[in-house]
Amino acid sequence: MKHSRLALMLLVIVLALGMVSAYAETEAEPEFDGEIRIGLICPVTGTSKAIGDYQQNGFNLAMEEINAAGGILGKKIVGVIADEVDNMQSAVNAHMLLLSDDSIMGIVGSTYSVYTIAAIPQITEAGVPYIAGGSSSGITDEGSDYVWMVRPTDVYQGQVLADVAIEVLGMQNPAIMYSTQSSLMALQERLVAALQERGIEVDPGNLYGFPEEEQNYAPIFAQIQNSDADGLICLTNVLPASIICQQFEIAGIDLPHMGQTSYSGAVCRENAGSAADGWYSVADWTPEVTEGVAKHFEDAYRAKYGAASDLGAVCAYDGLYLLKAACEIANTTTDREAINNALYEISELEGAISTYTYLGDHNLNTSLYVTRNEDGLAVMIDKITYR
Amino acid sequence: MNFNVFVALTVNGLAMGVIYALLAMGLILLIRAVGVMNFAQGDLLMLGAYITCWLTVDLELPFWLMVLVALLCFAVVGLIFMFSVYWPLRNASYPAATVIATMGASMVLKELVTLLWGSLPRSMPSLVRTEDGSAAVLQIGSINLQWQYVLTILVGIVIMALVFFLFEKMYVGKMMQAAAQDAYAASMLGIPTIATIAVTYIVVVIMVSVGGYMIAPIFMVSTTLGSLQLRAFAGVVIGGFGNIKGAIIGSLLVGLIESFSTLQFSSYKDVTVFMVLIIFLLVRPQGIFGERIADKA
Repeated sequence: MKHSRLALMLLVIVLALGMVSAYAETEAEPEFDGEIRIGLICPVTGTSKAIGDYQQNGFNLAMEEINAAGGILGKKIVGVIADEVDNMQSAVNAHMLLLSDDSIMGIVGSTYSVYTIAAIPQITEAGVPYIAGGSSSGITDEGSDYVWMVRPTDVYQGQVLADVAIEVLGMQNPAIMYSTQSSLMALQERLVAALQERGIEVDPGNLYGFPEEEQNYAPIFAQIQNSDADGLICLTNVLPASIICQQFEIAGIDLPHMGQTSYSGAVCRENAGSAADGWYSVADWTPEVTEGVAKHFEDAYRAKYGAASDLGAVCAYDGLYLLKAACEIANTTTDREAINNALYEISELEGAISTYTYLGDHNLNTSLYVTRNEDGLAVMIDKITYR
Repeated sequence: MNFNVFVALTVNGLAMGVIYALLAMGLILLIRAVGVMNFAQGDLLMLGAYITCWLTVDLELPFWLMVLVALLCFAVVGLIFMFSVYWPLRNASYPAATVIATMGASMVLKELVTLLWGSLPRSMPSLVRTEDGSAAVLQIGSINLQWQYVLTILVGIVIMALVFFLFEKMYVGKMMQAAAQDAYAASMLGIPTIATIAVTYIVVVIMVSVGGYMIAPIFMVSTTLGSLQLRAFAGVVIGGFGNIKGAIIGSLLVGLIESFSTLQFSSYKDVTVFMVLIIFLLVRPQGIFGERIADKA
């Protein structure tokens, strides 16, 4: 009896040890020679949390991939997340939190241009390489040596939007709806200027601005429906985009319609459902990509999170890879100045959003997608390399 | 402006005005009952929209059952809100404590719905739909009106009439008013103060939650619905602080101003509304139906 108990105990111990060693084998990590801390600024709470979830997913995916491949110059990446919530004060606080931490070697920043622009003086003073997720040219106009962009600025977006509106959708007298958030107002001005360059004067009566938190678009649609506009271009963030798609469908307006990148985003398509179908978009990103790093990212994202990605995710993903590339060019994980200087040497670096190259300004992006939403998917029609 | 646009903007403005009026009436009832300005009023509307969305979309309850369960949920929410936000602080030495508690409740409610239902806006089907499931449109001549707006106006009017009848015409309403005016004297007369306050909270939550249910198919269900209460505040001040009739008229006015301001100042819609509010505060601070304090004296 005693022997059989002893044998049973030994068996249990052997099995347990075996399981532990098997677990250890599957979870084996590369040997790291220390850490490199990289910050991420995104909304963790508040009304924009959905966008922040995507950013965290993209950041974590890149971090896991890089760490699994040995980290950055042998250093394990450790992510430090700061919550920008959904307002300027919290966003500035989040920036200050990360910028005051000397151990952070780079920051993957907010997708909201206004928050980045507000923090640029502090970023410049701290001298931390910062990869912004916003698209306003105001970010680069500030002239900071430390702030970089992965998305095309509104200057380029405006031109491509005008081309698609005229050449693809045949608009000659479009109505333009836009959020009065500064970055989207800037895009609206760029679009109007680009249309003017192409011989189309936009009637001021066909410009409809509205505050970012607006939810009732029916009065504007009633006016568009009874105007002489021959098309609709919408420039908003992702959350209003889905409501606009729904209310546009309800209004029963029979005009060609398109938007900027928000209208191809997963948040818009998932929320608006079939109402998002038919919307054209000049997009920074579409999950329906078919080749290269973009496809690798999308496949990995879907495998890990079980859903399609969105712009916030791919911005954070590319942002972290850009910082990795800069560290490797500079051959350091501890010298922020050297890492930042290395970003000037980025050339033909294939990312998920674009192929990144330094072309004299701090916007490293070189391309845009043209998409059309069909059956819930943002189908890629064209990829335009605009510079 | 052609006639079609005029009618569309009027219907839209009235529908929004009705929603603001429901919020504003709720504010007045709570001020009358417990003397507290509720800064979570819009968030209660948002919670109502989320609850009905959950019952309709997630649980797929038939309409009649959804209405019953939703009313029960709203009543429970009203009681929880009262006993957690107002009741523990009703005798606080700092009189603004209950008001500040409602501000805290506003944040708690937003985070609660985010935890329960996620941060993405949710879709709700319209009450009147076509065969293919899209929102039905009421066509009068060449004018297209969304049925959801028309229904919102009708339902809002019915609710306001019922609440007005309850508080102004029924004995139980007079009991509630008596308890609100002098809780001690009312309790001496055998009026259960706690019950009258609880009923007020339940009625208020039901009112605003139904408002949330009515606009959810148009605005989608998201935490930003809470921001509607700002316009209700404007309606209360314009109509005359503390006056139910004034709150309704003021709110309808806010809805119409908001709707028609998009004709020229779509970017400054909110500015237009609050400019009107400032003008009222300067020219007629007691509002349309309010009485001057000097007149009362």
